[in-house]
Amino acid sequence: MNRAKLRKRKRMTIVLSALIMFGIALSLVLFAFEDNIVFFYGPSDIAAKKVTAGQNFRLGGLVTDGSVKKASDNVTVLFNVGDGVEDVQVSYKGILPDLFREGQGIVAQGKLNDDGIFVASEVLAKHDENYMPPEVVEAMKRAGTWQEEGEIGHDN
Amino acid sequence: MTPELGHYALILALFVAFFQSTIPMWGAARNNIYAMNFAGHAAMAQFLCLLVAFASLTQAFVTSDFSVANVVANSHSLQPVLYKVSAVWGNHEGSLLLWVVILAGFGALVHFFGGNLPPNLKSRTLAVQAMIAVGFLLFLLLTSNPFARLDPAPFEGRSLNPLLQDPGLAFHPPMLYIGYVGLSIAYSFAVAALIEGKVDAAWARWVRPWTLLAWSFLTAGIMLGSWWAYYELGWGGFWYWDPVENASFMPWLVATALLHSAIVVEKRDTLKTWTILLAIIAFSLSLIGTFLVRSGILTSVHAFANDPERGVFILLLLVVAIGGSLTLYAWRAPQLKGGGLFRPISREGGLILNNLLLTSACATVFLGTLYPLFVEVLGGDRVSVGAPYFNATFVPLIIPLLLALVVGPKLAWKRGDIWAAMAGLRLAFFITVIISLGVGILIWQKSAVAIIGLSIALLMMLNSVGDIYTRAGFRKSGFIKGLKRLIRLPRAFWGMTLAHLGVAFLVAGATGATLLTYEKIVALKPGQVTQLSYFNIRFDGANDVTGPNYTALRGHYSAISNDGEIIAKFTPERRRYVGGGQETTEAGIKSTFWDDIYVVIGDRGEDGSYVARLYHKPLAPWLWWGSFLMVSGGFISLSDRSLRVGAPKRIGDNAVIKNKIRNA
Amino acid sequence: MRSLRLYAILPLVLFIGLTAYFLAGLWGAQNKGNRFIPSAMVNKPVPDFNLPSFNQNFPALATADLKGKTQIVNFFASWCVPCLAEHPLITKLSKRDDVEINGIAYSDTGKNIAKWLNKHGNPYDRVGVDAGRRIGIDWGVTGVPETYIINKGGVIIYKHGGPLRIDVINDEIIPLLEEQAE
Repeated sequence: MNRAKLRKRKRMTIVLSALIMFGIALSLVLFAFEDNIVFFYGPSDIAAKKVTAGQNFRLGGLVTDGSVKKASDNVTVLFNVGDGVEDVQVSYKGILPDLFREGQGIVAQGKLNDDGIFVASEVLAKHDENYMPPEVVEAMKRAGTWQEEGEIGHDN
Repeated sequence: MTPELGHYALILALFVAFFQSTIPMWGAARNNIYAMNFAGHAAMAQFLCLLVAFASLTQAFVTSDFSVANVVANSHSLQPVLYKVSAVWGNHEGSLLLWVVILAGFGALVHFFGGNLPPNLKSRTLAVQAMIAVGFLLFLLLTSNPFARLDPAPFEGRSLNPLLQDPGLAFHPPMLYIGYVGLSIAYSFAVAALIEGKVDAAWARWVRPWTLLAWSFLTAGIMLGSWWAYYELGWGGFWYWDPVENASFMPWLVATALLHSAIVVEKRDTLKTWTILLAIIAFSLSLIGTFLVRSGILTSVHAFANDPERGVFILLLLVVAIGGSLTLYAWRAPQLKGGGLFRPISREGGLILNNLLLTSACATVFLGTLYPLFVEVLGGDRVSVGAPYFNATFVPLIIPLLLALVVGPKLAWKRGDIWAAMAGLRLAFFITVIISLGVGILIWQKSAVAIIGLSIALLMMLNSVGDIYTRAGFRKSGFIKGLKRLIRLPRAFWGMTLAHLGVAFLVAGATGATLLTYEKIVALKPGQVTQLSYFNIRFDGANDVTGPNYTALRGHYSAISNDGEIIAKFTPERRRYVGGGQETTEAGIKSTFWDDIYVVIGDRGEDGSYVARLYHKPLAPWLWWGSFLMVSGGFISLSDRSLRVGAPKRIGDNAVIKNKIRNA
Repeated sequence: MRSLRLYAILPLVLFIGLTAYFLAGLWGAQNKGNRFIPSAMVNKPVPDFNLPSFNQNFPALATADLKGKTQIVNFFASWCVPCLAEHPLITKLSKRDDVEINGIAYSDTGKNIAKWLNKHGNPYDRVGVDAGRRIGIDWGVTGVPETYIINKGGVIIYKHGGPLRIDVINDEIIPLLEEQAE
C-alpha cells in the first residue's frame, strides 16, 4: 500500500477507536444518569405525593421555629422543614452545619422512609447568615409563600 | 495615594497589552524584525505595570487602608498579617488581578527564556497572550475594579471569611492560577502555530516545558484545595465533585493528555492537529471554569461572586477567545501536514489510548457538571448531580488508563510487541496477585471493590520499581555500578517515574479514604469511651478558649489502643470569629504514614454530652504523598536540560530578515 | 481532505451550542432576581425577652418597649472593636426624632458595659445585657455588631450585619426610617 493509503488507514483506525471510546463513555454516562440524578423538592411537593419512599432526593425549605429537638439517642437531631404551607419532619444523625438555625433556609439530601420522615444523609448550608438557597426560593414560589425583600408584611 | 497609583498602573498595562497584541502580529506577517521584537519588551513592561498594581493593592491590605472598598470587605485590623496578604486574592476582584499578573508574568518568562524561539512564532505567541490580557484587563477595569474607594472610609473592615484564614487555603489560589493561566501559553503557541500554518517537532519542544510547568502547579493547586477541604471543613471527605472543583479538574485532565500527546509530536512528528486542539481546549476549559465560578450560573458550596452581569462579560470573553481560536482551527488545521505512520500496537498507540481515555473522562465530568444547567434551561426541574454519578463514569475510564500506564511505556515506537511488553511485567504481576489475595482476605468484608484499586496501585508501584531496576542495569552490572548509573539517569526519566509512582499512591489513598473508612457519630460525656475500628476514643472534656480574632469551644479526645496505651490526643474546635461572626470547624487529626484518625466536635446536649464525629481512614495520607510525588516529578522533569534546549534555530533567520529590510 | 474538514469544524459547532446554553443560563440567573435575601428574622415579630440593664439607674430593655414608635436595636459589646468603630454613627442616629435607639449588650457583663458606655458615651435610650447569649440566638445574631429596625407594630423589618457604614445609613436606614415615620 502506498503512503497515502496507509495514512488514510491509520486515520480511520484512530477515528474508529475514538468513536468506540466515546460510545463507551456515553453509555456509562447515560447509565449513571438514570440512577444518580438527584431531584429537588419542597415540602409542598412531598405533600402532593410527588416523591416515593426510598428515592434519593434533595429537600429544601425553612427550618420551622421551635421544631428542633434531639432524639432519645442524644445524637440524632429532629426538626421540621416547611415552605409556609406544608411541613416535613426531618431526622439527621450527625453534626449540623454551623449556621443551622430555626428560620434559616437549608437544603438536605436523603430519602423518605415509610413513616413519611425524611432521613437526611447530608445537610447543606453556605457560610453566610443571609444565604437562602435559590432552590428554596423556587420551592416557596411554587407554594406561593415567597416574599421578596421590600415586600414588608403590612400589619399582619 | 498608592491605590491611585495601582489603578493607574492597571490602566497603563491595558494600553501596553493593546499594543503588544497588535504590533508584533503585524510584524510577523510582514517579517519586520523590529515590530516582532517589540513583543518581548512590551511583555516585560506589561508585567512591571501589573506588579506595581498588585503591590499597591497588597500595601492597602497590609496597612489596613479602609478607604479601599476591597480592603473593607475582606480584611480587619486584628487579622493576622498572613491573612491580610492572602485576603488580596481571597475575593473576586483581587483574584482577577492575580490572574492578569500571572498572565503577564508568563509572557515575560517567554521573552526571558525564549531566546532561541523563531521570531515569528515568539511574536505571535506574545501577541495572542496580550489579547487575552486585554480582555481580562477590560473586565477588571470596567466591572471589577479592585481599587474602588469608599468615602468616608469606615473605621474597620468586615474581615476575611474565616474559612479562608488557613495556611493551606492562603496558597491554594496562587498555585491554581499559575496552573490555569500557565495553560494560556500552550494556547498562545497553538494559535500562533495555526496562524503560521506550521507545526513541527520544534514547536512541540517549545510547548512541552510550559505545559509541564502549568501542569505541575495546577496539580499542586488542586491538591492544596483538596487537602484543605479535608483538614479544615471536617466533613471527612477530600473531593466533593462540586462544580468549582470540577472546573479545576477538567483543565487538569486535558493538560495531562496534552503533555503526553506533545511527546508524540516531538518524537514522531505526528498527531499535530490533535495536539493543537488539546492545547486550545485546555485553556478554554480554564476560561470556562472562570465563567462557571464567577457568573452565578451554577450553585455550589464555594462559588465566588454571584453576579450574572459579570457573567455576560466573561461569556463575551469566552466567545472571542474560544470561538475565535476554534474558528481559526476549523479553517487552518486541515492544512497542517500529516506526519509519521505507526501501527495501533505501538507507543504512539498507547499514548493515543491515554489521550482518548483522559478526554472521555473529561467529557463525562463536563456533562455531569453542566447537566443541571442543561435541564434547567430546557425548562425542567432543578436537579443535582453528585458523587455517585461521577464515580460511576469516571472510575471505569480510569482503570484502563492506569493499566495502559503500566504497559504503554514498554512498547516501542512505530511498531510495538505487546507480548514482550507484558512479559516484562510477569514478576510484578505475580507478586501483586499474591499480595492482593492476602490483603483481600483481610478487607473483602469491608469492601471487595477496594481490592481492585489497591491491586492496581500495587502493580503500578512494583512496575515503577522494576523500571528503575532495569534502567539502572542492576542485573547486568551489579549493585555498585547500578547505583552509579541510577544517579546519572536522565531527569526526564526520574520525572516520569516519580509522577507515575505518585499516581499509584494517589489511587491507593483514594481507595482507602473512600472505601475503607470507619465512621462513627456519637454523643459522649466527659470520661466516656467508644470503640472505633480497632481502637478506642475517649472524650476528656471540653472548654472555651480565645484566639487572636475568635473565641472557640475546644474538645479534648484521646485515642487508646486495646492494651490501654494512648495512641494520640486530639483538640478539635468550633470557632466563632469577630467581625463577621462566622463559625468554623477545626478537626483534630492524627496522621501517620499509613492512616489518619480524625475527630470533629459538635453541639452540647442537654445532659452535658457532646456530639462527636470520629473517623479512621486507612491510607488517606497517601493521597497527599501521591500528589506530592506527582508535582515533584513534574518539576524534576522540567529541570532536565534537554527539555528546555529546543531545536536549534535555523542559522541566519534573523540575518535573512535584516537583509530584506536593508535591501527593501 | 473533506473528512478532516468535518472534524475540524466539530469543536467549533459544539462550542456554539455550549454558548447558547450559557446565555440561556445567564438569562435565567438574571430573572431569578435578587440573591440578597433578607435575614430569616425579617418580617417576624420581635422575640419575647426581658433583659436587665447594666446598672440600676439606667432603663432596661424588654419586648414591650419595642412598640409604638420605630425602634432600632443595636447588638454590641465592650469587647467588640467594630462596635467601637460604628459608635459615632449610632450616636448620630440617636439624635433623630423619628426613632428610638436601644442597645443589647451581647455576651458581656453589666460592669464592663458600664465602663465602656462611660468612656465612649451612651447613645441608647435603653440597654439590655444578654450575658448568656440566649436572646441573641432568638434574634439570629451570629456576631456583633448587628443592627435591627423594628416598626411601630413590633415587627422586625430590617437587619444589618457587621458595623454600620455611612453609605448603609444614608442609602438604607434613613430612607426606611423616613418611610416608617409617615
